Amino acid sequence: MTDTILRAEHVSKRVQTADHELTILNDVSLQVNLGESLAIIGPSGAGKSTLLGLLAGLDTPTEGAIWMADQEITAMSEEGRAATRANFVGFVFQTFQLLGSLTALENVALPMELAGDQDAREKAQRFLDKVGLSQRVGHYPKQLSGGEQQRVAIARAFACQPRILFADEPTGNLDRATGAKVSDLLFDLNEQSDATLILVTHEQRLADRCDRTVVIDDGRLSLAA
Amino acid sequence: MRALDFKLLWRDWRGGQLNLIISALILAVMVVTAVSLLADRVERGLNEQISSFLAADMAVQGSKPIKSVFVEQAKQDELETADIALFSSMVFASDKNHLAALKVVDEYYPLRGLIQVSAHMNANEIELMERGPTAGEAWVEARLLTLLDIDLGDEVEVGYLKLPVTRIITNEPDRGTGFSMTGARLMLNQGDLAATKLIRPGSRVSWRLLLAGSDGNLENYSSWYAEQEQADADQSTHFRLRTAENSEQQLSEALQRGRSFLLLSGTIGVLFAGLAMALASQRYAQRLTDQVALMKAWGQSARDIRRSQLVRLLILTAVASSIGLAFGWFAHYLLLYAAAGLFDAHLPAPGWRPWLVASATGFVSVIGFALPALWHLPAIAPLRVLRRDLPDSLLSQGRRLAIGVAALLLLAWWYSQSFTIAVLFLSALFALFAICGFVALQLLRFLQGFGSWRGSFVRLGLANLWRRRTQTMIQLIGFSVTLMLLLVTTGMRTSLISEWQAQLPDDAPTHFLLNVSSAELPDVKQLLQQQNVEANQWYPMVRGRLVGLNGEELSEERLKLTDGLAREVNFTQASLLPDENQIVAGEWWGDAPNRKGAEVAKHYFSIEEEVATELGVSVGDVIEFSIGGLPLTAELASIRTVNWENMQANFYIIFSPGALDRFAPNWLSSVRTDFVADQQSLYHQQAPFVSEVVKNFPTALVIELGEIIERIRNVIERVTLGLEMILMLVLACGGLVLFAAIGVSFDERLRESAVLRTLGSSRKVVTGALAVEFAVLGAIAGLIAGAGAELVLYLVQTQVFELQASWHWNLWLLGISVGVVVITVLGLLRSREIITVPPLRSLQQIA
Ligand SMILES: Nc1ncnc2c1ncn2[C@@H]1O[C@H](COP(=O)(O)OP(=O)(O)O)[C@@H](O)[C@H]1O
Ligand SMILES: [Mg+2]
Repeated sequence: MTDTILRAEHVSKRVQTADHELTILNDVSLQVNLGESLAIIGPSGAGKSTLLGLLAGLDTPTEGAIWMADQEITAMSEEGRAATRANFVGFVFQTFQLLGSLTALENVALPMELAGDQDAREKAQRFLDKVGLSQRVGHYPKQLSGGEQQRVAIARAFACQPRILFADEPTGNLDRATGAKVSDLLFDLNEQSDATLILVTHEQRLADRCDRTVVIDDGRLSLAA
Repeated sequence: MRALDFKLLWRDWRGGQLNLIISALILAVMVVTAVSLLADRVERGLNEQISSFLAADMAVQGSKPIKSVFVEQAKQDELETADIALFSSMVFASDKNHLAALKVVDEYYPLRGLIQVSAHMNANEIELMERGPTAGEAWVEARLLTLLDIDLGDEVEVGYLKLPVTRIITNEPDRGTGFSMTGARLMLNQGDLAATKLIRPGSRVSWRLLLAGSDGNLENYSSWYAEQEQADADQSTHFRLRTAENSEQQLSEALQRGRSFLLLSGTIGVLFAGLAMALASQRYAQRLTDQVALMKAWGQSARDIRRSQLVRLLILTAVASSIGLAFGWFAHYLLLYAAAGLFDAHLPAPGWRPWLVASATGFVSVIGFALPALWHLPAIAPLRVLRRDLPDSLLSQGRRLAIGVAALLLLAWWYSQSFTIAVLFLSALFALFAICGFVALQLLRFLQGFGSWRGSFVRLGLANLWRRRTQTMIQLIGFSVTLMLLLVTTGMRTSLISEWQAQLPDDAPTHFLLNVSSAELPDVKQLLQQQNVEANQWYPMVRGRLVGLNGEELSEERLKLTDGLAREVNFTQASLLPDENQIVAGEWWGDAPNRKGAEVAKHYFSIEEEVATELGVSVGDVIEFSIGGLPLTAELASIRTVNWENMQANFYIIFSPGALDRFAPNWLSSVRTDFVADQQSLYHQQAPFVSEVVKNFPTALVIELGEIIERIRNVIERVTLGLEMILMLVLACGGLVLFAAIGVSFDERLRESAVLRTLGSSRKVVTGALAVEFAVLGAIAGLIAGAGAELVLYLVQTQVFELQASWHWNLWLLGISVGVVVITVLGLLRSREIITVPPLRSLQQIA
């Protein structure tokens, strides 16, 4: 057993558009160690989200292979990948992705409930405390500000205690000050847990707080300058 | 994960996302429950009565007194027998009277079943009797006491006899169909019949010999009866053997038709509910998309999600259907209330079938309308959490439509038990939709042209209608068809009968006098003169039937080709052609045409045109009649048209003078009195001459025309009221369609209104535009509904009632105002968020 949690080898993603084939990712190889935090930075449209989706097993590459905890997820069926995601993966999104009809507490508890966790509500309560929203558990997303919503989303992601946390531009929809607060929280919680963090961002400032940074541009990966 | 499914469903419900689907489901199930419960109970009630319809196993029924051979044979076959006779007669107490339905019974009646009676005014403490009243007492239906304003124990005059009323009849085993169109029942013993002096030759009496015994003996009797019938023409003409089966058949066919009719009208509600459900489900699916994508990203498999989805739908259907069933149970009481008086017997509890039909409706609706819109959800790519622009692989519109129509067809098929009826019904409905849709589109296009020069929000509203014309059309079709049906029933209920009455000539008769014997006639005429009552022509009347044509027997089948002549009918003779009759073939006889030479009298007759055509007879044909068992042969001298609507005494067949003299005819005339009843009076008031006539001539019958009209009006009113209630529910389903259709465009509307308001349009403009949009929608729907209803009523008036057509402006007005008010109010209610939410917020919400 190595301490490599995630490995991508010669991964390419091409899609067919109306008139030509578009290469979004071109021969990307990458390795992430257990407990490490990795930043993927690059300009908008570079293919960051696409890579994140592939690494998380949400999509399949056109070429190449990906291993998650020594399992080759690219060789699995969608059902198999779903099971792997259930075991290892958590997410934080740029658009928060809270469910509007659920309270903050219910939003945090939902993935644990789906996984059959009996103590979902208590854990959710605890994690909402940790993100400083213990007073807002009964509020619905539309009653919360953007920063508060993202804090709920972060609580939701960590409450499941994932082995790998994928965050796609978590501060992208927030103003600078709020973004800073939210990213503080993200890194704090990450430190408290032993999760591996894979963070997509176009902000150098955020990438600097990670152990390691890779740069993606026009579908090609290069190490940080 | 069961508990979680509940939890998820509960949260969706709490978020208001299921309101529409659930309401639509509840309404659909409610409509079907109410209708099928009503139908089932009525059917059961009637069936219960049919099974002891005869109060016997079999009965010989005749228009003449039962022949002794029938009784002798019954004795030989070891059958029990009972004699009864049924006829109408005036009965009275002090100054009140009523045309009662008399039943004369012997001590053996009933052979099967029991008579339910009570010795209390309020008909409690029911006693079950094995035999009817003894000589010297009368049992009556409770309403007769009310009609005559007397109490139990008081005397009632029946013909020349006074009898104390000792019991109230609450049910009798052979009360017939339970439809209280006839007079109230009075039952008396055979021993008293002679003293009433009510039965004379020519009286219209239904005589019955009731028979009961073992199956074998009954069979023997039937075959003997059939043989006998072959040999004896008189028997086949005047008597009929009734069995439970042949009594039951017609009625149960009619019931079956009635039930399908009601259920099919309920189908329209299901259709609209289904449409609302489909639209609402589409929106629900949109909202679920993110949730499903998230769950898949978290590692839920498509199978988990499908399972959870089906479980949730199952729970939702079960809960909503149960509520629908409960509401339907209450609603069926409303329908029963509307029909009160049509069925006066207590209805038995319903069986399980209505519940099954209604619950199945719930499940089929969900599978046919909601599920297709949600079907694609489990297949949503988990990648959607990152790329929200990924397309959904929603089932195509065409496929969803096909599934919906198939579900409807299935339901309609089940309701009507006939695939052909289901297909025809749905085709007719969709044709109606198409016509309404076409008209609506033209109106919309026409209005569109006006938009350009109207005020700003009017223009905006009209433009919106046109821009979202698919939704507009759905709403227009739904509302115009429902409103149209409502207007038609309202129109029938409120105006048809009054129009008919209004079109009666001023000198129309007010009463019919019948069953007056030749001996009484001069005295009756004198009495009428004293009372200042104007009598029209007096006609002698006998009952008889046609038996032969040009020397050959007229078959039952051939007679059945005619509406009028298949049974015994009234014949008369006259020297003058009655008013408003016109000869279309042959010639009316002169003053004394039947004495050609001194020998045998030759008789002629004249026949009404329609039955002549149906029967296929022409001038010169010789027809043999049977009147009271005696033969009469006459030559067809003329064919004439009759104005049936003039409320005079009218006849299919009129003989030349003298032809009927030997048959002891009773006399009939229509009379007119200027007496006007006091509308304020609680009691039904009668013209003074009526009590004089019935007191002095107890066997004579007086029928008040107003009362007949009142009865017809009552039946029409009850039936249409019931239909209207069903249609109200259908209209509620239409309201849901409106809600759902607004829901489909809700986000778009929200964004547009936010943009408008950000650009500086006032709230008033936004509200105004919406109000114009909905009001115009309502007005168009009301206009189409009014036009459609007018057309239907025109056809009913001219084709069914054969009246002059008239306009029903009130219906147009009603349609348009109901359309405008209902749609505007509901529409604005559903859109209030669009108006009230601050623009910034709504822009954020949809971003
Ligand atoms: N399925 C697809 N079909 C077409 N174009 C795609 C698809 N997926 C990604 N793209 C395109 O590939 C490029 C990279 O996308 P993305 O990974 O979202 O970039 P980033 O997250 O770095 O902004 C974009 O131009 C995007 O439009
Ligand atoms: Mg991106």
